[in-house]
Amino acid sequence: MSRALWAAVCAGALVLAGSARAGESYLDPFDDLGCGKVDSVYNALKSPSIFFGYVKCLDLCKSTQKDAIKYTNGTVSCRNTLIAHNLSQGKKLCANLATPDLRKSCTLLAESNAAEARTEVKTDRATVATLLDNWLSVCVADCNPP
Amino acid sequence: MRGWLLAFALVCGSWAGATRALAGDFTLPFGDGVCVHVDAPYGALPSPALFIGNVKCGSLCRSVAIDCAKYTTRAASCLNTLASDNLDYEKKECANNVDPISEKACVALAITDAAAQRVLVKTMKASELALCKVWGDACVVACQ
Repeated sequence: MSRALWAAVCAGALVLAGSARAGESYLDPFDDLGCGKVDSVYNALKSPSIFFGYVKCLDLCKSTQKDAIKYTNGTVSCRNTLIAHNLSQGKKLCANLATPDLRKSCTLLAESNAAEARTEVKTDRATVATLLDNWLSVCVADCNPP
Repeated sequence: MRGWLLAFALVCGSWAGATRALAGDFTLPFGDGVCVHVDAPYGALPSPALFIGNVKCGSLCRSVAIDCAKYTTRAASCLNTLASDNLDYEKKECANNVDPISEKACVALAITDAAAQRVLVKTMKASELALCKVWGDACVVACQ
């Protein structure tokens, strides 16, 4: 997303928060550009047939899957940090609201959004783990074609 | 920013090309997207006037600037790890060379290129961290 568009989106969120509408979430400018997505690493993986014919084919396949898991875990950790940061920033925006009730419901919604985001990250991580297992199976099979 | 991206792409491209030339078609398993680019976090920042009018404007600004530095450092760390991992892959692929002299030259080139990659990441990281700080300072000033 372009910087100008982010500015517009964030400005919009701030206007809404300022107008005492509880429940507007903080929109982190780093959303995808700070951490990448959970499936970014899998999507960056090349074909599982790439090591066909190599002397150390099996070793290369296994190393690749292991490294892909490592990078994916790094992304997951980063996204969880980002979610926590968004929650913290969202609570600061809630301070713009006029009454304690509005501030409280705003905070509750921010917490609910954070919990939902964490669940999504967890689900995506499980999906990517399965995809990486499949990638390894094909890579190993292609090292030893029938 | 585009200059950095172009420089990064050129160095990465020449790195890949050079290793292929000597090692005989290196095949690195990861394409672009494994790590966030070092200049992406700062590049994601909107105008420093973002939080004007907010009750906690200064705090919001400082948090974003700190995060900018944090994500930049994380990206640099990821790219350094990738350089090391790519070096491991290349060394294994060098085993495809039947001639020991060719294999040794292949490994030496891979090591040199990984070192060059780390130097580039270090330079870019320093530059981007400075930009994150400038943004944070400007944001706080805008609050006043």
